[in-house]
Amino acid sequence: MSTKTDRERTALLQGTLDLLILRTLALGSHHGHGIALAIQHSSQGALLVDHGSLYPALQRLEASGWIRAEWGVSDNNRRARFYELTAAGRKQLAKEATEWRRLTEAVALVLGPELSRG
Amino acid sequence: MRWFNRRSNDDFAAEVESHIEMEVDRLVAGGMSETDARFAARRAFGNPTSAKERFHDARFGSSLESLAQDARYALRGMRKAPGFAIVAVASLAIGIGANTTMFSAIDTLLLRTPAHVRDADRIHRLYIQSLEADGRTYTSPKEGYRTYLAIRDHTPGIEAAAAFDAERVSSGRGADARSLSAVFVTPSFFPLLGVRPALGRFFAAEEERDEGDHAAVLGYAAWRGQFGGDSSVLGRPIDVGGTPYTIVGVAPDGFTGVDVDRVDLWLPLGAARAYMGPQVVDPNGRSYWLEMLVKRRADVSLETLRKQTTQVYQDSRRNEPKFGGDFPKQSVLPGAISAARNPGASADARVSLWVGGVALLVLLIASANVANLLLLRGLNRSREIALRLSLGATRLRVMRHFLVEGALLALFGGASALILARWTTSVLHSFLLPNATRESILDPRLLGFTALVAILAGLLASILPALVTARRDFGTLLNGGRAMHGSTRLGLQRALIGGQVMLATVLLVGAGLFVTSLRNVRSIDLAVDVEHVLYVDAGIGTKRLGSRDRDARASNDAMYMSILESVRRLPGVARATVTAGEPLGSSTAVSIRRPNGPAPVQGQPVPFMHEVGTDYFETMGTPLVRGRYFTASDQGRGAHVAIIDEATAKQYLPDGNGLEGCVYLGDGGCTEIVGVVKNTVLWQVTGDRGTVVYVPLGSWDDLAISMLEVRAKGDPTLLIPSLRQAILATMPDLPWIDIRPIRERLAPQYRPWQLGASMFTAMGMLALCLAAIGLYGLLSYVVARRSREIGIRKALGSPTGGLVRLVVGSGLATTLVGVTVGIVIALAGGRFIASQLYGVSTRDPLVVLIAAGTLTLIATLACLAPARRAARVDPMVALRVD
Repeated sequence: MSTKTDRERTALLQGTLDLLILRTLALGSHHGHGIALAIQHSSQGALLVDHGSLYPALQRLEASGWIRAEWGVSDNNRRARFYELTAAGRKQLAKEATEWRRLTEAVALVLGPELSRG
Repeated sequence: MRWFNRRSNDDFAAEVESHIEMEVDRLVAGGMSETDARFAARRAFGNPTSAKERFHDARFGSSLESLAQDARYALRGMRKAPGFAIVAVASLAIGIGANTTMFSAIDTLLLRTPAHVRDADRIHRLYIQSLEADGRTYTSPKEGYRTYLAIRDHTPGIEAAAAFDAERVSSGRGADARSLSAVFVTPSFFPLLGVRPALGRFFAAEEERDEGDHAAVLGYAAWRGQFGGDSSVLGRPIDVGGTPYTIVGVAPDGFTGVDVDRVDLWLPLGAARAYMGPQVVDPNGRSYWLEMLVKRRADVSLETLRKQTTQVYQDSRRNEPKFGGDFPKQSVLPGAISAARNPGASADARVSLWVGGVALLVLLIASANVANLLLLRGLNRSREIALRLSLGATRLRVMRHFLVEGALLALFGGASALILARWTTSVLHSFLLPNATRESILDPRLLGFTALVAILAGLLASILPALVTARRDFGTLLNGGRAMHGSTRLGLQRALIGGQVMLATVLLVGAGLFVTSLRNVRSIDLAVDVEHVLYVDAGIGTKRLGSRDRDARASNDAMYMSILESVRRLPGVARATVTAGEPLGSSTAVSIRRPNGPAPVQGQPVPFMHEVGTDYFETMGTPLVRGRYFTASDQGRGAHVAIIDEATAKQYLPDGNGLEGCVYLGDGGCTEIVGVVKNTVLWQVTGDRGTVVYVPLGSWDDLAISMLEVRAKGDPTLLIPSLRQAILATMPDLPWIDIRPIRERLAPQYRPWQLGASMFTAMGMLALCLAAIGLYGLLSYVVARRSREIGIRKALGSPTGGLVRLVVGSGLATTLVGVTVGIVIALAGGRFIASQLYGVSTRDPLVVLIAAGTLTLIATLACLAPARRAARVDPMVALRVD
């Protein structure tokens, strides 16, 4: 059963985290740790990925068939599970990215310039 | 979902570990100490256990566990609401049990391949179908030995043919005598069915006519029962009607040939000569006593077989010396191996199917009832469900919860149904198939069927509540609001109850029709005291006496007369008499005409002639219409008197009162008709009565006495032991004495109506109760839910009577809609059962009225308790609730 804090966290991240993971994997296969760092880097540190939420998200994406995983060896010789995008995942990424852009544009329009200041 | 691609917990844990190690590496590389880095990495990850749990939840494998969770949850809920659980389980048990019971009968009668029989689909019973002059067809399964030989030898499309006849035979003498169920068979019977003996052998081809050493095969149960399952039984003698037979084999366990009744003894066809005379296995004999089986060749179609056998049959009849001429109107129909699936379809089988359909209706009603209970429970638990949804339970999960609850209820219902069915099947079987070997309730077919029905019932009951509840909007509930709208109208619940009422109406109308039919059939005047008369067959006449064997006949008659004397002295006996042959059945036919009347025309119907002892009509309870009964002085050769029944008088001696001074019976001389009696039943209770001429014993034919009729003062069955004792005291060395009340002989004829009446009534009552429970539950819920509204109304001065009317009215409205639709369906569907009814129209207004009235009455009663509760609502209390 989910707890309340859990619910808030997923509510915050669920949609976006999936999108960010898919986007990161579009650049090449990665292990979970690498994905977290990559998101952090490309957002210039603005987005801090909760490591605890990352794996359930990966699990969910894998179950949906958008990514697949395989055990491999990392750059510094650690065993790690490497994720890569599937064809279905690529389509999903395109779809979600478009939706996200549309949403943010719409929200930005509604907020307007003066309100965003306050 | 990819269920097949499941990850183990360990695999996931390894991934988490690897992640933390990498984070430690990164932090250490950034200059942190190993201990600090490890701590920071763990903190950044959050709680690894919780992540693992979430991984676990996301995985499909966990659904088995959550299913168990749902089941535990449902069980807890049932424990908390035992009333709901009991009513739901009982409803389902009734519905499922009814189906299990009917299936066991239908399976035995119609579906099951007889035990040990191979290639049953290519084995056919042959029926002879004749087109009568009046255009009706008449189907008979019985043919003569001659026809069997012809079919066996001249039909190209068959692999084998066999013939058989089931009878009861006597074994042993005096106090040790037993009655055994025997089947006379051709030796080809066993190989045709593909059955192998459990012990020893079956019959050899040359044993067919039973002319050499007498061989017998024991049934398995008789072998276990009477011979203790001793394998040295082979070669031992067994007495069959006074003739020693040698046991040569034992049939396998449960083998009953192609019928369902238990068989104690298998005898070669020719053994029947001792019972029915030498003509039975004479190719030119005229006994139509055999049922025939053929095994169709795999490459021959049923239609070809029909043509071939019909051709063979007609050729054989054409060449028959005693029946010269063509029989173009007769044909052979190869039927299924099951006797109940004959072309005429036995009434028992048809009614069983009907009641099976009714049982399905009851299942529907029971499921609807449980669905309603679940729906109402869902409404009562709205707040709890809303809470679960808001805490992250998916609607699928909530739906599944209902399905799991339904499945659990079905499981309990199914188990209870089996316990119930153990009893009901034995009642039904003893009624419908008294001599059949019965499968245990744990028979895999029955268990499988029960499980299937239970699953169906569980699904039917829970799918609707699951869908409805999952779709509902619970938004306002959590904020303390009361979902007044929508949930008080309860359209779906009302529809379900209306449906139950409708089905109950249909069943009650059916019950009424069958009950009326049964009453009509029962009230047919049989002109015989069916309730008190017993037949006693002392079995002396088993070896049929040749008509010219005067000494044997005299000693036979003397024995019967001395038995009659001892029977008449018994205290419980009102009257007793003797007859040659069984009354109320066929016998010698004799023409009857006035001296100046036209000579009888060959082929015209003629009356039957029964030879009866003094006191015959008094014993049988056949009322006299005119004239007198026989007296003691009428007995014996030379007494030229006769009594005729009304039909004979009307048909053969018109324009007269029947009391003729002189008529010619057959080739005999002048016979005086001294009395006219009522027409008695002849074979069929509802069938044609035929015409009968009665003459005093010994005055006409040379038939030997073969039967006693005894009228008991009270219950005839209570008289049986003392009768047997009295007879054995007179004649200690008799074979089995068969004593049975007439009503037992006629009972099978009442069975279809009895079955229909009792089953429809039982099911109709169940349906009625279920509908009433449903209505009660619904209205109770409504009253509980609307107590605030009722309280306000009361506070505003609304009279109590109005409130009662409101509640009762809403329940009655639902009921009346159900009753009306039910009546329409019953009227429209009536024609389907018209052929099973007797003397009642399917639109009998009284039946419909009683059904509708009963339902409305019971529904009103079901409404009253909730209505009274509504009337008692205290406005102050009701308004203070939330």
